[in-house]
Amino acid sequence: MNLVRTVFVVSSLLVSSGAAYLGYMGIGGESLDTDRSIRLGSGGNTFQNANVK
Amino acid sequence: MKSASSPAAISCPNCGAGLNVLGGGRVVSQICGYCSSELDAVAGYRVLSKFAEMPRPETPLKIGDSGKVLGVDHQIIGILGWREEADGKSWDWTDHLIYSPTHGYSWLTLEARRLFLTRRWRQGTQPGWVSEIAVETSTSRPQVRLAGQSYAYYETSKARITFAEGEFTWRPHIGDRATTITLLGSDAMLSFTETGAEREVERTVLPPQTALWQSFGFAAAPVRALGRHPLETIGEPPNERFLIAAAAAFAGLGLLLSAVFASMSGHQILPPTRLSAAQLPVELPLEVDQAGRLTVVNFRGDLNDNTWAWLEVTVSDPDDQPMFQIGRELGRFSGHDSDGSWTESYEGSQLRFRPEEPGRYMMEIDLPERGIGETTATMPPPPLTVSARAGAATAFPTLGLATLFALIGGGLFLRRSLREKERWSGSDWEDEDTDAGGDDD
Repeated sequence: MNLVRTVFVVSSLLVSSGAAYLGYMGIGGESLDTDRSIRLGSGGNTFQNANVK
Repeated sequence: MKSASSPAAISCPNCGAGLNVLGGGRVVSQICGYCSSELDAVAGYRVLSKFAEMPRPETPLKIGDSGKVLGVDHQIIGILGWREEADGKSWDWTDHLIYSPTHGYSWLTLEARRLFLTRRWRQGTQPGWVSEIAVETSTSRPQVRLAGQSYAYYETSKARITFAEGEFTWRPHIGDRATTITLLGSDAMLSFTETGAEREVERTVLPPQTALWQSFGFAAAPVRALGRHPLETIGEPPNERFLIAAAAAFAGLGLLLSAVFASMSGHQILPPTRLSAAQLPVELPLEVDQAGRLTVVNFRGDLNDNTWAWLEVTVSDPDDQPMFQIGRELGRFSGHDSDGSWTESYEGSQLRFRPEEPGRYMMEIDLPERGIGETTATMPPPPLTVSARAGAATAFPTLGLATLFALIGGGLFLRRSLREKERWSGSDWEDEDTDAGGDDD
């Protein structure tokens, strides 16, 4: 097997193994519409800090 | 057949010109290049006939030139000019009869400014002969098998001899006609040639041109090749077939892995739980036992027709810190319009996330807004069923990779198909379901 074929097969095996790991771990299958910018607790003193709308 | 004591040179009995005798023992005639007399090579070189003035074909090669053809020393002993005429057009080519004491007689044909090597094929073909009538009556492109390879019909040509000079193993005459059925294989052409008296099966290959011309004493090809010949494999990458097969194999592997991962839905951590209007909003626990794996939560609203509800879910981690929030619309609609009845349902929704650590995650679930049609309405929330599984896999990465490999393999295959189509573009076969066969490896 020449160099081009070897490189293609080896790199394809590596990429396939990587994709298999991602698939097994569920990476890439998460919901994309999750909103992670939600506030913690009360959101602070919103009445006195008037420049925060 | 000549005797072993044949002379190395003779004088033309008609014009007195000195003529070298180069061919082997099968030469039966010699045509003087000076006066066009046909001499009998097996009966003392007596004059058999004299041809009228013949147009000399264009060739930089001449009688007596020597060179290596596919590694074997050959010498040019005869030159034939050919012409084919059809539909008001004409095509000319030159055959050089070459001789090797070890390999016998072959043809070196100068056509489209390339040199082709043609040898008689004596080992048989399947079928043994392809006639012009067989081609005309065939409903599909005729095929011939030879030495494990398949050849498919390419063209029919009807040509006549316009020029002859030197030694020959038969007696060529100006105006002699030959009908040739040519079939194309992956690296050679097969010819079924029929003259008035003979039938020949010949195999033609295209030797490396530069080396061939150099062996005949030319620094490079003295004429530039015209167009692309179907025997030329220029532009075909050496690994193309392998890469197409390998890409298809990896695409298949990706699809197989995708099917496996799609079936890995994990284990249940929250059994289907039906929530009534009175129970909402509600907090439900998710007992995650595997960090980094996919957790899938399914929601399904039991909605009346033409109603909708807005689903809000907030997920907190085991430290009770909010991680994220989602908002989804659940709905079920139906109606009638000019195209008939229609339904639109999206009563189910799915939340997928990867907890970074095991532990008890909490989901705060609510249906804060509801409506009928396109308007918000004051009405109780519909019943909602919630279930969850942990340790699920996803088919997206392997499916994406399978698509990538399919594109690579498909692109290479398409390029190869276009090149193969171009290769067969010179064929005179006409078929609505044109197939470009002939290559079975």
